[in-house]
Amino acid sequence: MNTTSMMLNRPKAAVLRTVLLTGCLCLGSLSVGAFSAAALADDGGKGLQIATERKTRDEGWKDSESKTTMVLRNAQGEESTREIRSLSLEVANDGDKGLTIFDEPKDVRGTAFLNHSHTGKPDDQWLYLPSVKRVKRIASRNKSGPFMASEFAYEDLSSFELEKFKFTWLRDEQLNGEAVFVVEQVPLDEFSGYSKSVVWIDQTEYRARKIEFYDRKNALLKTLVMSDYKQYLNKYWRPLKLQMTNHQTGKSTDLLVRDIEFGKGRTDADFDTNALQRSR
Amino acid sequence: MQLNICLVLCAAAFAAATPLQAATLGPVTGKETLWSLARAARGDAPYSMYQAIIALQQKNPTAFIGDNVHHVKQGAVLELPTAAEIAAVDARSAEQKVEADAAAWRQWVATLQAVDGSQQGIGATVGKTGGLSSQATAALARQVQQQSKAVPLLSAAPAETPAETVEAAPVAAVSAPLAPLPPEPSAPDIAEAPAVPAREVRSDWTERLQTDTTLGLDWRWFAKRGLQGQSRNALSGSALVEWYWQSEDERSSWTVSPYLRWDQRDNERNLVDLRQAYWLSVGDGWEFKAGVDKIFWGVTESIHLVDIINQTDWVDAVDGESKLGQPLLQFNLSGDWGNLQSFVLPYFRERTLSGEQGRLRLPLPVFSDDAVYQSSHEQRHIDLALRYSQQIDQMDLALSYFTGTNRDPRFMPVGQGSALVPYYEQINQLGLEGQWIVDSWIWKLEAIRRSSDIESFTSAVAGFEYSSVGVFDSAVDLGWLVEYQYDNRGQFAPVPGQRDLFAGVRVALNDEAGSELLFGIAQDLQNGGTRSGMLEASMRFSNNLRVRLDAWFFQTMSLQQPTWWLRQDDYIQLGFDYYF
Repeated sequence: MNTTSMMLNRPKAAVLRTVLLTGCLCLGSLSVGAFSAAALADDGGKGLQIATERKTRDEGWKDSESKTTMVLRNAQGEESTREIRSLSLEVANDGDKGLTIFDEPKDVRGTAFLNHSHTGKPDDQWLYLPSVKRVKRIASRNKSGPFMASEFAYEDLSSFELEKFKFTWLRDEQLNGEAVFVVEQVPLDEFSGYSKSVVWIDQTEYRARKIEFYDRKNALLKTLVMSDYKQYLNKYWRPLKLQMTNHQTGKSTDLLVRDIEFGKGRTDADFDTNALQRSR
Repeated sequence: MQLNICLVLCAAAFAAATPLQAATLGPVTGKETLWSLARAARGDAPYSMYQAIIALQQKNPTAFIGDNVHHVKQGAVLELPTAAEIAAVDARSAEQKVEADAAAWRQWVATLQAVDGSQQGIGATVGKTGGLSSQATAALARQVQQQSKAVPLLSAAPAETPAETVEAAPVAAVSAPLAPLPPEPSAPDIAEAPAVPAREVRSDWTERLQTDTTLGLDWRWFAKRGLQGQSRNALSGSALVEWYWQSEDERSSWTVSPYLRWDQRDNERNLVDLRQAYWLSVGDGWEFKAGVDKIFWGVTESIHLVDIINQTDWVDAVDGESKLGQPLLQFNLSGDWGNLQSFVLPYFRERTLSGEQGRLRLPLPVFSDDAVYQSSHEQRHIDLALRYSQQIDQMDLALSYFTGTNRDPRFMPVGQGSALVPYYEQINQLGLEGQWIVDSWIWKLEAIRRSSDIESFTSAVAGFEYSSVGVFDSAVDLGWLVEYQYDNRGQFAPVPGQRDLFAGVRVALNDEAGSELLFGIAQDLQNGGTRSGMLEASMRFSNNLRVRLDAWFFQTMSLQQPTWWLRQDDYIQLGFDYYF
């Protein structure tokens, strides 16, 4: 048979439709700080004790899900919003797993982000790109990039792991009429975008109320205020409002969390790449 | 469940006027009316009603159904925002949100009337009050806003709401498609009459139905006229709808996604396709899918060698990433040992190819409808495919096998060489994918071995993707792509990438518009005059609109190159995608 081979095959360059997101919104377990036993500070171990207590009080929640509206505000006060849904799975002795599904802006709807955070090695991260039905694994080393153009960085939203910081208790004081611990935490990850952060933790429930983030030049970069705390399952406190203000750019982002649910019986199978591909 | 638009207004006004007098409001009942509450709402409101409404919603995100300001849960106790919180709301975006919610509400009410014949009487009532409600909201808000603009702060005259305005507002009674609106509707009360009683209208079934639509409009401008004299520009439009329904236990789902395309010049670009139409069932460690779907295999960016399940919708996108829906049965097994996908593909889709009036075509007309097959079963030949994949820490590996009809056509001359017909042979293809993540580097490899009665060959692509984020102290991310394309048929390969090097850069500004750009060039290493390049840039203009700019160029001096026939087809394409 006489065949020609003037075939019009795929052209040389194909398109990368990466939304370049490097964030995971594990709001279910948003928390701050961790400690390393090897990095004891000269506060008599008090910072470490506070962190231990915080961690202990937040163990055993198993799985959760929530919906979040992100309100992005620029220096001129102009707002835009994003809508996302998040699922989280608690993992004992390692980082938690998170699945984030984007609903708005509508051009990224259906995009989903899967994160397996780890304590001793880089996180595993995948992005699902609905237009080409592709699951794309992404490099996770950098944690300081903005999450969906917001003032939240990936590391601000990653799950509460105890091995990532060195803790130092600074002082006790009053915050809005409440007794709080003030604790400094220095990230041990060299790729963190921060030199340190300072956390205000209430003394009654060990909830983070405010965090100040300092950039690599040790200048105040951002302040996060967490409010509207609500208790779930008679144990776990979750802030329904998180306001991050960037002092250097004047921009801010509010996260308004709603419809938090615990104990839906999710398993590892709901957080693998097959589940990522199925997510809507 | 009650909708209480009036309550929203009232509470908002309270919030604006007397933030310290009442910290909460409610619980919301069906008794409140717009009129009674609006009367109570009179006071000094230094901010727009829109701001107050949005502040109230932000303060009570869980009290509003479906994020719509017009849907307050019955029984909800509303916490009043402070004056500062109201002031913090952007007035313009608040107005847009309230108006958009009103429109959504009207649409939903119209839907109720359309779908709920059995309860027509109530439906009509709901429709009427609903229409009034949203109209009145806007009217009231506008009025208050005007007043607060007109008079000095804190001494605004009472916001009189004429009952006539409310009652005379037209009813939105047009039948509308089912909107993705709150699962639990509630009736608005607006006039003095009490609210319409709550009732369950939507079943669980429709609650879990999701509808997404994308409309596209594209203009292509070519640098030169076509080799066969084709026009230098073309307009095309497309529509993609996706319906998705999931069962309550999340174990099974339906997806149906039709696609339509129209082209101004080229009839062959007109298309009606089912991109997806399948039923999926999920168990512990397994998945079963039956229907039409798109399946992607592969890891590289410049070319997708391993990807073979779907036929390419070539006329849609020259990058080959647009695919036709493939009828299939798919069974997946997964566990610690890896992931095994198996496919039965009972029907073959022919490649879309440009027509005589189209650009980016072969020099002779191709009679796509007269395709010739090696198999006597033609399009009904049953193809089979398997893919095993496993993740080993920072490494991903996959092996795949395909046996069946080649997705890539060859072309046979017919009619004394005046035209061509596509020829689809039977092939076996073995594929390998590998990926290894090292810090910010991702190393990638794809290779195939393809055999048919005509030829056997090996083809591969390998390279890396390197990401640097926050360059120059900004939020900008850069991704560098380098890939080497190899084909052991060398210069005789009917594909561009035989010994070619692709280099590209992707820029993501990480701004609110989600601006991104990808630029890449593929250089033939054996034929210095042969290269092609592409640019893809896009940014968001609103929550619903994204604008794209794509460009391609093809350069070659060699008749043997497949791109020889594309040498006049350099183009720029401006595209608008509207999502709702």
